[in-house]
Amino acid sequence: MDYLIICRSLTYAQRTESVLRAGGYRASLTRVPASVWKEGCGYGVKLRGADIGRAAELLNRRGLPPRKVVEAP
Amino acid sequence: MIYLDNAATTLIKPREVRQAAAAALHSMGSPGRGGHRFAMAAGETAFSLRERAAELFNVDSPEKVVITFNATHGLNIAIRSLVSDGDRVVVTGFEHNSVIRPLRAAGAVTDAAGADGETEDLIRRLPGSAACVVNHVSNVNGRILDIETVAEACLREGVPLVVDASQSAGAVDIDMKRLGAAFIAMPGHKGLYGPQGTGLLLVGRDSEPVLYGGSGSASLLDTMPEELPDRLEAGTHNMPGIAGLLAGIEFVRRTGTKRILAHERRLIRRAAESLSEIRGVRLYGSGEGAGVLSFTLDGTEPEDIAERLDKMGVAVRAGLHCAPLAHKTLGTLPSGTVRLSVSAFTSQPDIDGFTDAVSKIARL
Repeated sequence: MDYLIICRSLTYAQRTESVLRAGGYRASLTRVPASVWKEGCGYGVKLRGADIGRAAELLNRRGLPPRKVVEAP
Repeated sequence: MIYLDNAATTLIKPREVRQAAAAALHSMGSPGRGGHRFAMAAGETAFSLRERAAELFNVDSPEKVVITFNATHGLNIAIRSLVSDGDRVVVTGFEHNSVIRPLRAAGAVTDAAGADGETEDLIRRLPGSAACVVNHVSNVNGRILDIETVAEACLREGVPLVVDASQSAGAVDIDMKRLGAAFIAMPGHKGLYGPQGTGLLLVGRDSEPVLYGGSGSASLLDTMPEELPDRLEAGTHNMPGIAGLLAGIEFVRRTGTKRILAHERRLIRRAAESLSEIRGVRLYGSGEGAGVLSFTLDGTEPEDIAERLDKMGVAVRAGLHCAPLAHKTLGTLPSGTVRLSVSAFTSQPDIDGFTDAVSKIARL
């Protein structure tokens, strides 16, 4: 399954992408659609075919807890 | 032309800086503004700058590297974040107006240490103060403050430390984690060899913006977002400047700050030795500080000397260097001094050409 990890800012999204890629995940930076993020204009990381639980655990360990995770639209 | 005004701006930049700034003009949009390739290219460059700067200055996370327009911008953010009306703030006797004026605007009372026994005098003044804002390297005489000892005392006394690294960044090692500073502000266009209009603020605690506006994030909020760096970076970024600064920081990392400082000290020592042989010259500084040295010549105004040097093909800066407090401390008010300041690109023949020219002026 593909997921969209919503981040607090472009910089957090860039760090998130970098940590996930270094951890061997297929992650890519993307804009977040307004339908899933109500604060307006945001960035996230699309995660393809991964175990989201383990990815979230990795991000938590690196001080980057995901703000919100949804299934990728 | 012999260029010896690097404390104002390093005019000679690494070739990569010019190339990166020029390429950004036609290849980069605005970071955080859109998902197209040009916006994303700008975002990648800004992020790389934060990462490289975080490595150079040992900042624990790239979002704590805030991109500013210059050191003054960063110092204004730091002072607004920490200082309220009536607060007592400890400073050195070498502060630039980029520190003194924001402190005055905030209503602070400045408590300046003397030049003799400077570190001990600073530390003695810390208890009960709201903040300690210090000039790391003087832009007038190149003296280097013992920042580690001051930082230790600030941590012990619970006084937030702000470092003005305008003359030190790129030439003197700066370790944000070890210092435990609240803020460290620096320009991009001096010892980091970036273009003018760039700077960095390393953030170690809660901060207040001085500019409000679009951040490319959380756009439905009518307040600035809480997250760094967006909280402190309202408005469109200077991408040619940022791309150039990234190349400048890579140059500094490749060359090494220790090597740059050793080179600058050698040149300043040579200049000091030659100048000291000229009758009527008084020196302010030595080869033990960073790449800055000031002098006066009895009977001749500093501005006149600088004007004559310019006609002879040497660029220096005369006057008060926006640091009247430093000149008060050194006893060089009201006319100030003539200042020469070097960079990684200054050569020994540059220094010899400069001292020959001063020698000729002194004989007139």
